[in-house]
Amino acid sequence: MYAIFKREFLSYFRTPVGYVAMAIFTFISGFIFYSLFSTGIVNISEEIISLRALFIVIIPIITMGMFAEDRKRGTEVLYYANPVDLFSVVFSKFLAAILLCFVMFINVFIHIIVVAACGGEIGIGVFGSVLVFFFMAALFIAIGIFASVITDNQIISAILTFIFILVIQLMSMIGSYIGTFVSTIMAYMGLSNVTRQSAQSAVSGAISWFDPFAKTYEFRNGTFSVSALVFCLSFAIFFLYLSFRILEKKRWSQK
Amino acid sequence: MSIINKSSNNAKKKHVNERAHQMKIYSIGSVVLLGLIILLINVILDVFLGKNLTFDFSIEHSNSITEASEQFLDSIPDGTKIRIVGLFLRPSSTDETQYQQYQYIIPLLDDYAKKGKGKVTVEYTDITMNPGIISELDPTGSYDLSSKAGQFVVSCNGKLNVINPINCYTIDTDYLAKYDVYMATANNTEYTFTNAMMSLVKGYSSKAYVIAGNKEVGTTQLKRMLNGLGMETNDLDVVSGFKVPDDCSLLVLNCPDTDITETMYVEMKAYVARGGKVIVAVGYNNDNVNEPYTNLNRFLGEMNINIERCMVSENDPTYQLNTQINDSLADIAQGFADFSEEKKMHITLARPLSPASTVNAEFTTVPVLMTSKKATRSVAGENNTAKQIEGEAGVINVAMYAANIETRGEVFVFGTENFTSDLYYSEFTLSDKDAGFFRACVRSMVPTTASYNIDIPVKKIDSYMLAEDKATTSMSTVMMIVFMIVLPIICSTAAVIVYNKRKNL
Repeated sequence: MYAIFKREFLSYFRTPVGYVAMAIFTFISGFIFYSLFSTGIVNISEEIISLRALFIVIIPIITMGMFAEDRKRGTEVLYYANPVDLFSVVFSKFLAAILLCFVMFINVFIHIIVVAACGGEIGIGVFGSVLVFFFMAALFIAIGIFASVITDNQIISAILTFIFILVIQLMSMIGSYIGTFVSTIMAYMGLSNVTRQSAQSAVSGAISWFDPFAKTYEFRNGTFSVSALVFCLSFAIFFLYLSFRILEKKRWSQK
Repeated sequence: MSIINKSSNNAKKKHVNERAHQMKIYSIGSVVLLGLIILLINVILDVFLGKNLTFDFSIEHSNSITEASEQFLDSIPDGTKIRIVGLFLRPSSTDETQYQQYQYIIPLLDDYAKKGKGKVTVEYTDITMNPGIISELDPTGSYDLSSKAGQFVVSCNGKLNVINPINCYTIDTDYLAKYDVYMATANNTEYTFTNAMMSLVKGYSSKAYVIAGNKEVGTTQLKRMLNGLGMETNDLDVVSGFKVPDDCSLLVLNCPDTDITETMYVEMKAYVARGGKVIVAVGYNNDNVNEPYTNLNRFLGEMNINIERCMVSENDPTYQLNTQINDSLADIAQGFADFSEEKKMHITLARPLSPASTVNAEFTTVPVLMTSKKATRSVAGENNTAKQIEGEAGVINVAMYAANIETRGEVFVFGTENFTSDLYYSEFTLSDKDAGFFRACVRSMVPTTASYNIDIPVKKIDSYMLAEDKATTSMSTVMMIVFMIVLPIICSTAAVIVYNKRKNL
């Protein structure tokens, strides 16, 4: 497992992928940091929260080639031919991607040091934001791996990951629109305002329940919710397992 | 032989197919099962254990109510129903701009509901979608709730208290004036909501009137303090015929920049003569340096107090704050020592208070706050400098108290704005020692119900300001060059080098 992890992590730096991801991340985090610094008020949590929006670009870049590239080159068969547990393969690639995120995040750690040196406040909210960043990165990387497993094409894999993350980012908004839609339908049916509002809240609440951004919002204020972290982690495990099952199916279908 | 082989192959194929089918069922089954288990665990954790597994590590636990509020909630009789209604749909955290003003309020209200043992309920409703809520909460239409969208209504025993989210914060008034941006310096959410609940459950014990119309400074914090003491607050307008109402328990003249009118003088004098309580605060600032306060001094002269037309210069370094002569400490006079655990109060740009030229024996007048023995008088000079007035250094009174034992009329006069102004509390918050002293002054004049003396600390909001000498323009430029140009270029160059080296492999 360690060998796969090492090979996968180093592969980011043997191809331009890791450097491109780092360049984008460094530039955008630098821009956010500079924007805050120039006002004289820097809340690093805000920077980290803003950087979470970058997942939609960074994660597809990191994960698009994970399995799709192997399949394209035909090296995928090595996983099936070797006596190695496929879940270890999936998990090693997952850990390698997490480590790459950590390497990119060093940039933010430097920002934190700069803020502390300039007399700024580094509160518990910053720790919460960092924690959430990595838990959400884990969730999205797992989704990216899943997208990479189900397709042979890197570009399609990246587009699928992009769409998955976009839908998750807009989950609350989608919930709100569907809630309003349900309410409008109920208005046509002549139902009372109170019933409509209850239905609207219930529908939008049920959909928003799947929004990890909303669940982890309070971490920036120092309120830590175990259930929010479990949510991210458990769904990451679910997508990893799903990826593993798909690979396992392919192994057994090898002619 | 071939028939045997064919049959063997068929059996093998069948076996493989069966195995593949079993694998497929196992795969789908295990994924569905894991999905259901994960969903179930998350629902249980979120719905049933979510609140118990949420930990408030925030600065001063700003998302949780304090023990004082918990005790208050426990003290409410069972069966009491306090209903908090947000007149808006609970905002989604993705709507940053809308959520920001509620970010300290919504989690705290959740905590009230959690710890209220059924006595407190919190709900959110959109008044445009559910207009019936307005008549449900306010059947008589006295509170004009239709114009209060985005605010909170606390309702109990048929009475209401409307809370604007902006009133849950102490705002930096200097920053607001300079940049036209609301910058919260402290979080008063718990203070505001607990006091609102308390006033509804127990009712206000008295009424305070705050004079409005003499170019006073903001009175939001002052009113908040008085509400916290169980006093209902109202403005008393000087324009539309000044008359002190009969139900006035306390009259406050908060830092006027202009003198009071003749009518006000007559009314206030009559009010004190019939046992009224008055608090006057007048500081020294650019807008009132030339104001002699003739009528105000006539009124205070009846109580043997005179506000001088200059400011105090504290020359004792042990009393000075930040080596400023007009931002210093003042001793509490012996008779008022039990008003505060601190021995000294904070005074800024204070006017000296001296005994009036003629003595009215009906009033007993004593100093409340005094400078050191080295204080002198000065006036504002050019370029914000202080110009010394000739005279010997000595103790100068900066707050005085006068009482008429027969009529029970009482007056506190502060020569500084620190005890009552929004400007001061926007920087130092209502947890400041001056606020504590002011509350004690009010309590000494207007008896408040013991249960009102609940001490809910104002919670600090993190200031993310960088040190001014470090967050300079040149430093910003350095940050831009390093983080936006140098580092990304290094990464991009590495990407190009790696690509060129490996493109032919």
